[in-house]
Amino acid sequence: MLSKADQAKYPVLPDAVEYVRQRGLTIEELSDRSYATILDRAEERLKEAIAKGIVSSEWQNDDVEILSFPVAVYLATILRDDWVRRRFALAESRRASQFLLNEDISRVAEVATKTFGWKIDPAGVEVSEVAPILRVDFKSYIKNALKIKEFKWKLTNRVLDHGFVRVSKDEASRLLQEEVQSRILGRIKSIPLERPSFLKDRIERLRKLVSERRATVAFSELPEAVIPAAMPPCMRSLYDSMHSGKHIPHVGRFALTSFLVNAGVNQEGILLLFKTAADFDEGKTRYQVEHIAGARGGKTKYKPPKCATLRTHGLCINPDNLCREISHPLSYYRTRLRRVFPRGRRYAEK
Amino acid sequence: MQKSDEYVKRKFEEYYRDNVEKVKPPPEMEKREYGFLLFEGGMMMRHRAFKSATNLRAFISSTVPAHAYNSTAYYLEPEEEMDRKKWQGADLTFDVDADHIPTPCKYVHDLWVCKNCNTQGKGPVPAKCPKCQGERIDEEAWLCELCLERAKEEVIKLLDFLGEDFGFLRSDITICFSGHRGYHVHLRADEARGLDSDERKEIVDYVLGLGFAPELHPDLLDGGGAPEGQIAASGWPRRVARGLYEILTETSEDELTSWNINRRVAKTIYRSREELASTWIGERTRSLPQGVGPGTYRILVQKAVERESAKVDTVVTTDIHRLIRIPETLNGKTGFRAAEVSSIEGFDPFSDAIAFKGEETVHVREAPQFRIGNQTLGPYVDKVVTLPSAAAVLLLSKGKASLRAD
Repeated sequence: MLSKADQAKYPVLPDAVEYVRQRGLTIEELSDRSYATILDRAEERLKEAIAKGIVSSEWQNDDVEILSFPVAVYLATILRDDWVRRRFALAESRRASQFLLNEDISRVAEVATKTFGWKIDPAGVEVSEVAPILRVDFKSYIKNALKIKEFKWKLTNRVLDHGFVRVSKDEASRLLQEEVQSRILGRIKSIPLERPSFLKDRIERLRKLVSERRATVAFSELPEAVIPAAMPPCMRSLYDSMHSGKHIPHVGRFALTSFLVNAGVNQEGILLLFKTAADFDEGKTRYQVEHIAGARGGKTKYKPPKCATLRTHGLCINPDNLCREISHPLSYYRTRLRRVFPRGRRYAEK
Repeated sequence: MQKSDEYVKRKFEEYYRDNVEKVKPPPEMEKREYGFLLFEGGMMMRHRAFKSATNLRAFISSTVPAHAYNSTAYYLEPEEEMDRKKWQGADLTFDVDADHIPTPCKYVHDLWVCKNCNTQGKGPVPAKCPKCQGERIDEEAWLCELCLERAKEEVIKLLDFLGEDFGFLRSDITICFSGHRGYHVHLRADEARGLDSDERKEIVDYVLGLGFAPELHPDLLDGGGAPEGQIAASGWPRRVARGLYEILTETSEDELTSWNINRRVAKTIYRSREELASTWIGERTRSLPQGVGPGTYRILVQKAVERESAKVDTVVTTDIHRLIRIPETLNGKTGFRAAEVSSIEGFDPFSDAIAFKGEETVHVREAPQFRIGNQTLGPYVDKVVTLPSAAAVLLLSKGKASLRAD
C-alpha cells in the first residue's frame, strides 16, 4: 500500500485511484467554493502540460495533489482535443518518471510488476549501489521501448537472455514513463461530456493557451498533386520502379500507394501509375487502392509504414540527411515541402 | 485446364484419397480462417472456416486444391470479412526461404525470362533485359539441395534465437517444410499470441540483427572491465563476438579485400589469425590486430552480424492476418508435401517430403540436375524420359516438362 505522499507522487497508480474512488468526489461537489484549490491545481496541471510538457513535482497538500489529478483528466476529456490529450499524458508521465528515478530498485520493480504486469526475473535483480540492474520480460520491454526512438533501446542492442532484457534502474523508470503515458491516454476517453457552467472560465483559459501554443507548431497542408522532388528517397525509388514497370513486392506497393493516398493523390492518378506495372490487373488494383484509401472495407485510410518498418522490409533506400531527422516518410515529405515551398506560395500548378 | 494440370490434379486427388488423414490442422482449428488456391483458373477461396479436422479433410479430398492455407491468426468470426473477424491473437510465425538467402547456385538453377522479347538468363533477375532493355522480367526459381541446406542452417540459427535469447520452449515450436524452397517455423506460446505487428517487427529485426550498433557495445572487444563472459555472454554481443572470431580466423586475404578492406590491413589480419585463435577466447581482453582501424572494425562487425543473423522473411512474421500452408498438404508448385519436421538436422526434403509413388513418362524441355530419394536425375534438355511420379509432377508443376500427349 502506498503512503499518502506516495499517492501524491503517483496519482495514476491503483492505490491512489482507489483512494479517490472511496473518497467519492462528484462533479457537483466540485462547484463548491471549498474545492477551488483542487480545481486550481487541476487547471495548473494542464497549463503546465500544454506550456512546458511536464507537470511540476512540488505541492503543498497531499489530498489536493491526489484529487486534482482525476479532475485534470476530466478537464482534458472536456477539452476534446487530441493534442492536449497526448500532451497531458506525456507531461504527467514525465513527472512520474522523475520520481521513479529517485526510488530504490525494489520500489521500481514493485510498480512495474504490480501495476503494469511486467515479469521481472528475481534472480536478475542486481541491487548494487552503483548500477542496479533488472531483468525484464522481453514483451514488456518491447511494448514500451518501441515508443522510444534512440538506437540504444532497439532490442538488437540489448542483452536478451532466455526471455529477459537487462535494464538499469534508470532505464526501467524511462520504460515505466511509457506505461504511465499509455494508461493516462486510456483514461481520457474521446466521449462528449457535458460542460458544467462553473468550469466555463477555466476551459476558456485552457483553450486560449492551446491555440497560442498551436500557432507555433502549425502544420502546412499538403498539395493536391504529388511533388516528386519532395518525396523521400524510399518512395522516390518505389515510384521510379513502378513507373518503369519493374516488379515491386506487395509491401512496396502498399507503402507507395498509402504514401500517395496520404500525399493527396487521387485514386485515378494512382491507378494510372500502376498501369505501367508488369502484372497490372485493373480490377484487383482498383480494389486494393480503394481499400487503402479507405473507400472500401473498414473505411480506414491507411497510413504508410514508418521508417523503422520500411527498414525491416528492406525498402529504406539511400537515406539522406533529412531522413536522419524524421521517422516517417510523410514527415519527410511535409518537411521538404515546407523547405522548398515556403508558406504562402502555391505548391504547384495542377 | 491444361493436360499437365489435369494430370497433377489427378495425382493430388489420388494422394488425398489415401492420405488425407495425415493433413494436420493447426491447434484451435475452429478459430482459423482457411484459404485454398484451386487448380482451375488460379482462383483463390478465402474466409472459410471448419469446425473439425474431419470437415477440413473432407473438403480437401473433394475439392483437391493446388494449395491449402490456414491463418496464423485466431478469430472469433473467421468467416467474416477481415474487419469483422475479431482478431484474438496469432501464432508467431517465421518463413525461412531460399529467396532471402544469397546462394551461389542460384546462378546455376534460377532463370529469368524477359516478358517482352523472351530473352532468358540465369541467376538473379537483372534490372533491365540486356537485349531489349525491357524491364518486365519474370523469375523462375528452382529448388535445390544447396539452397534448402542453407535454409536449414537459417532455421537452426532461428531456433537458437528463439530458445537462448527469447526463452521459448522447444515444445512450443513446430517446424514444417514449405514444400518448395524453405521452412515455416510456428511458435505457439501465450507470450507470443497477443503481440502486435510492431512488436513482431522488433523480433524480426532482432533475429536479423538489424540496427546493431557497435559503438553501443564497447565491451565487445576489451570486456569493458567486466569479468570475462559476463556481458558478451548472451544476446547479440555474444553472437557478434563469436562471428568476429570466426571471421578473423577463417577469412582469406582476398575475401577480406573484397569487403572493401585495405589490402595492407587484410594482410595484417590474415597473418595474425593463429595468434588471435589462441588469445581471443578465454581471455579477459579481446583485441584486434594492430592496424585495424574503426572503419575496418565496422565492416567486420557488419559481416559478423550477417553471419550470425537468421535470414527470415520480414513480411510473414509481421503480418498478423497471414495465411500459411497447412502442414501435410501438397504444394502445387512442386507436388511435395509440406511435411512436419521432427528433427531439422536430419530432415531430407527430397525423400521425406515425397508424396507420390509410381512412374510417368514426360517430355522435359529443360531441367537442372536434381534428386528424388536416392535417385539423381537430369540434367535434361529436350528429352523424353520416364521418371518417378514425384519427379514428373515436380517438372510438370514447374512448367519444365509436358505430358507426351500435350
